[in-house]
Amino acid sequence: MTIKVNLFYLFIFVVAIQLSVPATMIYSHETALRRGTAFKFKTAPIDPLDPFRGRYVRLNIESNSAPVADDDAISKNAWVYVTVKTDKDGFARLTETRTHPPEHSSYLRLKIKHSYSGTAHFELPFDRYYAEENLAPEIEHSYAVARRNSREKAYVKIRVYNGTGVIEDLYLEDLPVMAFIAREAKKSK
Amino acid sequence: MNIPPVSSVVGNFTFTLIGSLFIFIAFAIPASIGLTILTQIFIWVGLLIIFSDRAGPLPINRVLRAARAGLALNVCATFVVILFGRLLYSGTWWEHPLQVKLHGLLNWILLPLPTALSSALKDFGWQFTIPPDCLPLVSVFAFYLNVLLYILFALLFSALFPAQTKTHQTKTPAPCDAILQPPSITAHPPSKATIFDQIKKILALLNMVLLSLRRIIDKFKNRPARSAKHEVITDSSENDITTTMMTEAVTEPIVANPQSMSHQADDKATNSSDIMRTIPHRFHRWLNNELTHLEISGLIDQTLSARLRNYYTSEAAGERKPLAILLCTSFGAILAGLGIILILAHNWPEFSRSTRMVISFIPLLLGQFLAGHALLNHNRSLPWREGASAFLTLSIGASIALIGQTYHISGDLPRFLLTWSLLALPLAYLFRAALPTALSWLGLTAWCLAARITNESVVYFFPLMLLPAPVLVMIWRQTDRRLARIWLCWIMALCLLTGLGAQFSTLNGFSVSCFALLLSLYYLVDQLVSGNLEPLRRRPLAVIGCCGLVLLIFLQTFEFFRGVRALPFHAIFKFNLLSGLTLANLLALTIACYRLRSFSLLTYGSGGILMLIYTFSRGNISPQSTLAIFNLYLFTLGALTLHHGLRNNKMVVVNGAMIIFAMMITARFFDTHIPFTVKGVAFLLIGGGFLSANLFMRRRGVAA
Repeated sequence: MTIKVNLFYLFIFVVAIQLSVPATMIYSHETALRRGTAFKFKTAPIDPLDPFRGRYVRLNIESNSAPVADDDAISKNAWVYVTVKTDKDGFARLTETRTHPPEHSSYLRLKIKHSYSGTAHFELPFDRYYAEENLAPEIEHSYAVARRNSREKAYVKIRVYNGTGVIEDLYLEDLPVMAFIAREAKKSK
Repeated sequence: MNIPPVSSVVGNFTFTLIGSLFIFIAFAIPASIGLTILTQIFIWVGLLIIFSDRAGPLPINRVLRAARAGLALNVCATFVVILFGRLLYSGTWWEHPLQVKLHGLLNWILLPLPTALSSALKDFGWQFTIPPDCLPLVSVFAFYLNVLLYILFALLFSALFPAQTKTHQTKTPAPCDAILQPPSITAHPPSKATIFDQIKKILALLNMVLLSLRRIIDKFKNRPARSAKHEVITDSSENDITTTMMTEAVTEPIVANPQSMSHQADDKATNSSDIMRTIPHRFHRWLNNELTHLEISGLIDQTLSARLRNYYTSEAAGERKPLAILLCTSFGAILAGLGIILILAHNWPEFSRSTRMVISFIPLLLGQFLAGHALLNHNRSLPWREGASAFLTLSIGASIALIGQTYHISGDLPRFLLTWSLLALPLAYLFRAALPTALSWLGLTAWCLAARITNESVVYFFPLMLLPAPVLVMIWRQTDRRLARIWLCWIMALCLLTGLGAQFSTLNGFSVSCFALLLSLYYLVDQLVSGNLEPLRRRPLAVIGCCGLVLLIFLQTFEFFRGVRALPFHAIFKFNLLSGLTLANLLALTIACYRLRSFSLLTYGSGGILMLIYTFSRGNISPQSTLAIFNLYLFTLGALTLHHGLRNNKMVVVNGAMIIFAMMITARFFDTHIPFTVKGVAFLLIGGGFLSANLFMRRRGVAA
């Protein structure tokens, strides 16, 4: 009998750990969405598939590198703090790489993919936009059409808070992606 | 006749083997990832497993208990500190000043001596300089002092709160325990502990250690379990079916060798219906036929045959029913879990973020509720435990995946898989279930592959793969879970091979040696654990080991391995996979040769070591002789396998040998690098050899 009860306590402990993982994930992303500063990252959507999480549009984000002050101090796969600023066109740009978080400006905590002659390239944590399984190919298709007419302008709005960046929405021609798809569908009719 | 039950001896041995494996893995951990602490942890865990409670008839008293508790506490403490540190500094958490402070505090509380040493080195490092080579040794020393500290702590604790003797009495001691253990040691009065008492106890502990050493040596000398098995085989080696039947009987927990069986039958002639042996249906049918024949031919009388008929009962067809229920539950749970994952992956646009937040917890909570219910109310029902834990395992994945989808979290597949497997792993222990074990092995292997693709570090793969291994041992010791055991062995062996393959980018001398060592280790472990007694289809390790080795050697007989560089001999002295595997191989080979007294296992068992020796001396061997060596080795393997198969009348083994020969003949016939004349002469000679062997056997058959 005692063994059974002890096992159950252990089980409760395991259950708590299991619940805490999704809870922390939700908490950190939800706070970033609510309190974060918005930035627009220029992007190009492409469509692949994930076996567990469904269909998504891969975002090819243009601004994924920043100058590094000291090449030696930063190694491959290291985590660094990168300041994000808005340039004169209104799009986000990664400006500075540091080993400690900056005090006054917005920053992202990123992993270095590789750094080469004073420029570091990062793995951005927001390079996927998950969409409904029929919708994802459609997004990619309408982006390709828009691109052919050379009027493409795709960006993704990111909320940045305390180093975390979370996607708020994907914009095509200044419209949220759902509205854009609806407009395209109406046009083709 | 007092034979200790097979289960106790095998159990003790298996635990020793697993524990030693842990210790060897300790040496296989690369130095770059904190050699000292991780190595220490693995050595400690190995010791704990060897001396664990279930490991058989070890004399247990308070001092040993305290030592074990101290060791376990130290392992847990080190794990907690490392895990916290890793989480803190590796990007999963933020480095909040409070967290850093907490980490420091944890260090001081849980591992006071190493922390004190490191802070002293930091503060007063200028006063006494330690050469950097000695630093690991110093820190290991500090860790051992810490273990001592914990042991003292545990002793103090046990002295202050003496354990109730009730728990000792409820545990049924193994039969040989009662014989070998002096009663004065087991009876510990929970009196007040004085220093004198403590010294007495330590002396008693020393005495006990000597006794247990004696016992281990005795076990090796007499080998009671093994000798019983051999007796059975030699007695009935004329008839193949009898042999297999008897060996089946030996693998079951109740050992009954022929003498004691007939003895029993004489003794209990009056109430023979009380004692029954359940045997598989086909053996029962065969026995019935044989008994009828024997009766008709007048070799045995009717009463004896009736008694034998009463003694053996067939496994009823109804006994398969639990298995059917178990399989249906398992498949149902797995399909339900996967279905939930797929449905959520559709990515329903109708749901808002808050709805998704709720939904992502529903499968998880449902799984946890079911699992908790199974644990509390159906703890004895295997289908409940397996099904509920499998469903919970999959629903963890579904939940994390849905959150990733909602917040568009980047496609960090390796981290997703690793989190999932690690969260599922405790379930394997809690539910003593095969499915979560298999799933976490598969998940870890998938993580290893995915991480290799994205060029991340996978050095933790082998230590992580070891974590569910004790569950396999637990399942192995339950005789009624043969199916789970076999499947788990398949999955573990294939996952380890895949993971080993993922460690290397090219097939060079190092990787080929590692593969050969792992494959021959499989074979040796199989020989040690199940031997030749079980049929081949129940020995996945043997199948994988032999087939893999044959394939590896066959590949070596081709030209494209010629350009591979030799391995420097000092590579074996580094802490890496190769040295760990080599040590494990040598140990397993020695134990196997010593225990089984059979050198036929050297054929496949020494394959890894031979390959290693060849890789070291590759620089001095010409390509022609390389080809000759491997062809010869493969031929020898084939011939010995054929011999083994023919002698033991095992058609599967004979067919395996035939496949080896067929592969060799085909490859060499079309080989363009050997002159036709040489090939022709070699084929003629070998063919002649086979024909003369045939002639020889026929002559001998006629003479007999």
